[in-house]
Order: sequence, then C-alpha cells, then structure tokens
Amino acid sequence: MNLVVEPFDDGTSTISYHILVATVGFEERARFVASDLSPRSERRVAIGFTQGHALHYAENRAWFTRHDFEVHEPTDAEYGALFRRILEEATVVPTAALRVAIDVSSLSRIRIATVIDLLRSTRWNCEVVADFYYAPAIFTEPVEEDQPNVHVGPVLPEFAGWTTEPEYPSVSIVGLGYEEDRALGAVEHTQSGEVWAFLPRSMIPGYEQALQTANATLLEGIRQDHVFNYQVEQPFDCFVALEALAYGAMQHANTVLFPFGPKVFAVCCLLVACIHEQLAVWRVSAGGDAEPVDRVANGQIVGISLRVIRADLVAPRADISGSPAVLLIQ
Amino acid sequence: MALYSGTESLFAVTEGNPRWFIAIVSHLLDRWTNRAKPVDPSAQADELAKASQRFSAMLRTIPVEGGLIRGRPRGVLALLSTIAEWFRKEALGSEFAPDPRATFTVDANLPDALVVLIGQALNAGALVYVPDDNAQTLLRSLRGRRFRIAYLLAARHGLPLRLGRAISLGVILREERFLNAATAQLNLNPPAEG
Repeated sequence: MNLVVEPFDDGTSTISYHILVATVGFEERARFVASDLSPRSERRVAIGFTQGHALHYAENRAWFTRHDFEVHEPTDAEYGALFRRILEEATVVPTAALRVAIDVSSLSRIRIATVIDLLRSTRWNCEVVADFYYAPAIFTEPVEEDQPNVHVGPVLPEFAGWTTEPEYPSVSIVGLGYEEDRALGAVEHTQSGEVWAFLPRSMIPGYEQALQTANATLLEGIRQDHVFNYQVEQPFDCFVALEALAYGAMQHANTVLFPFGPKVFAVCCLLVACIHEQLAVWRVSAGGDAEPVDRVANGQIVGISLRVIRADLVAPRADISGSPAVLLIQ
Repeated sequence: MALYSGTESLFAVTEGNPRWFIAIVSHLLDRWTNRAKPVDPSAQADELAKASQRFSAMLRTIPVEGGLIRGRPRGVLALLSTIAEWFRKEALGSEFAPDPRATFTVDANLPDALVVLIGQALNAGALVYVPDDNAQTLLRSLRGRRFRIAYLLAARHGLPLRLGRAISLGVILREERFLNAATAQLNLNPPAEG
C-alpha cells in the first residue's frame, strides 16, 4: 500500500463524502462535526459504545437517528469489522476514489488505532481518502482522577513497535494533556532515559495554565530544547515535526509515543507509526471506569488526511513532489 | 524539612536503587551552585519530594490486575496512600506515640484482590519486605509477612524514615474504610450506598 499523509486544503469545507463516520459519544461535541458534514455525505454512519452512556449520549444518539445516520453500538472488539464492512460495501461499486470523513473528536484512542490500522493494511478495491476531523473543545476544568488504570501498553498489538537493538535505551515522546501527572507516570513507567514533550497550543484560553500545572514536575525535568509547542489547529505541521523527531530518536533508542492531549495528536502519532513500524504507540486508560467529562466544541474544525493507494493500482503522481505531503511506501 | 535531607536520608530514600539514586543526585548536582557549601537542605528536601511525586505518578499508572474492592476497582497508589495516611496519623496525630507503628502484616484472611495489589506494589518497589529474624528471605506468599512503605514515599506523606512496630493491614484498611468494616472480605456485589 502507498500511504500519503496530507494537510486539509482550503477546499475541504466543500468536499463531498461517500461516507461520514461519526461517533455517538457522551460529549456534547460528538455531533458538532457531523452537523457540518452530513448535508454533503452520501452515507452517514454513527458508531456508539456498549457502555458509558452518560451525559449527552442519549441526546446525541437521538440526534443522529433523526438526521438519517445508521446507528451502531458495537464493542471495541467488533468495531474494526464493522468499519471495514462499511467501507467494503461502498467499494463494491467501482469508483476512482472512496472519500471518507472520520470524526475522531469523541472516538477512543483504541478505535482511532483500529481505523488507521485497517486503512493501511486492507487491500481496498480502489484508492481511499480518509479525512480525520477533530473539533477542539472549549476549556473545562480537569477532573480529579482516582480511577486506576486498566490498560498501560501498546494501543493495539499492531502498534507495539519492534526493535533489532534491544539493548538500546528507551525514549519517550509524550503529547501532554492536562490530567495531572499522567504523562509523568507514563514516562516513569517505561523508565525512559530521554523524554521529549509535545505541548499543545491553541487559541482557546485556559488550557495553557492547566497544562503547565498538570505537568509541572515532568516539564521541570526536561531540557527546554526537548519541549515542542504545536498548534492544535495545524495537525499536519505537528505530524511533520513528530515524524522528524521520531525518526531521529529511533536511530539510537527504542522509542515510545504517548498520545495524551487532543485526539488529533493521537492521529498524528499513529500515522507516524505507520511510517516507522519500529515505533510503539501506547495508551494509558482507566477504561469504562473513567469519569465522563463533557466537552463542548469551540466552533473550529481541524483535521489531517490519509490517502491509501494500492501499489499495483497506483499511477505516477506528478503532483506529490511539489505538495506538502509525505509519501510512504509499504 | 531537615528530616528529608543529608546523606543518611538520601541513602535511606533511594533504598539501594541505582536509578533512583542517579535521578535524585543528578538533580541535586544541577542545583549545587556554590561548590564551597553543601546543597541547601531545603533544596535537598525539595528534590526528594519531587522524586516522591514522580514515583507516585508511576504507581498511579500501574494497571489494576485484581478484582473489585468494596464494589470498585482500586489501584496500587490508592492502597499505599491509605496505609501511609494511617501511619502519618500514628506518628504525627494528637496522641503522642513514642514508638509509632510504621510496618504492617498481611492478614491471612484478606481478599485475593487486595493481595494482588500488595504484590504489584512490592514488585514496583513501593513496599519493602521486612523479614523476621528466622524468616526466609524468599517470599512464597505475602500472607503473614511484614512490610513497610518505601522511604521514597515518606516525604510525600510526612512519614519518618525508620522501621516501626507492626500492625495488621486489615485493621488499617477497615479503619480507613478501604475494606468493609465488618468482614474485611472482598465484596463483589455491595448494596447501594446511601
């Protein structure tokens, strides 16, 4: 498969989609992207969860049903098969390229990983363009978490990474969120010899102070030149910086990516791991026991695009060399 | 706090763990600006407190492997904080204790889920086995054995860096309401709490 990661171009706001895959979540923002994209999407699917039906879940589910979305509620284990079936049904009819919009705003990291792994590993009948949408939220105070984790490790076995140099030290590249000391705990858990931090910046007031407070001890222990700022509104730039750093780190260390913070950073980490399969992407999760927190969209929509082209179907693309894209060949 | 500074405290807190020692001493060296004098005791205490926080964050990350306790999952850090809080009250409470209890013995009848948690804490280095004079140093079971909390967590909870008398873990956990008061048994389907 050839994979091309691209930024959203200026025309994204007018693109029509063959399929829109939304998430029925408990956050109010779960339907924000869908409300924008549904009028220009042929098939609309909203996928929910078997548990965690709290806060706005019922309200969101009703909204999706009312707006002609097919609503499914699979387990995490069933999610991949459902997603694959939806895309395969659409490619039965010959088409030059299948265009899919995926809203990751309320999607769990394990499901984001499932989607990206399916996109890269399935032998699709045609080119597939997957646009990952994300709606940043207005600031809400972080909650005091006392729920223990149920999972600390690779987000999926397919993203566990591998090495031919087990004696190498470990390096952590950590996207910071505002859950207190969560990133610090992950770094200590892997006993990383070197830590790089990605600090999200956005136009949304409130986050910056909360991020500094939640990660104070971690940031004190990291050299200043090991802290990258990235704009949440510019995920492609974040992807490029992350890829460059990870490539450098893996030359002398076993490297683990921890995608705390905005979900769109998790998308970037997983796409980078598609390029460099030695990289591991981990998640730290309290599972269904985590206290639900409402997130309200701030009105922006951002994203990043993945083009999946079967190697035996690909024609030379004259436009790639001059565009801000990363071509991956597997 | 003078209690958490000085070489003896540093050696005690790092428990012979080279990684902890290197991490703390590296930070202390960074703060050693006036080489004619020792590192300021408050800076030493501050570094030990930060090391304690880093260790606590790591303990919070450990995924639970046991079942429910009082109807909910409980993590390693929650257990250790409960025990440490009891020891803190014993050492610093309103009633003076000349020889405060600072170690615990794992009761034979504690729930399996709790013993799993204790095992996780032990493997993480958060608990230290205190063998009796004639006891085997190789642990085959945690039940009936005596442990103390790693001194690295002492600064976080204001605990003295010394071995104290032992108390039953079941007593601590019942008093702190970590376990059901009546039975100290694993309660998989508790009644709704009012």
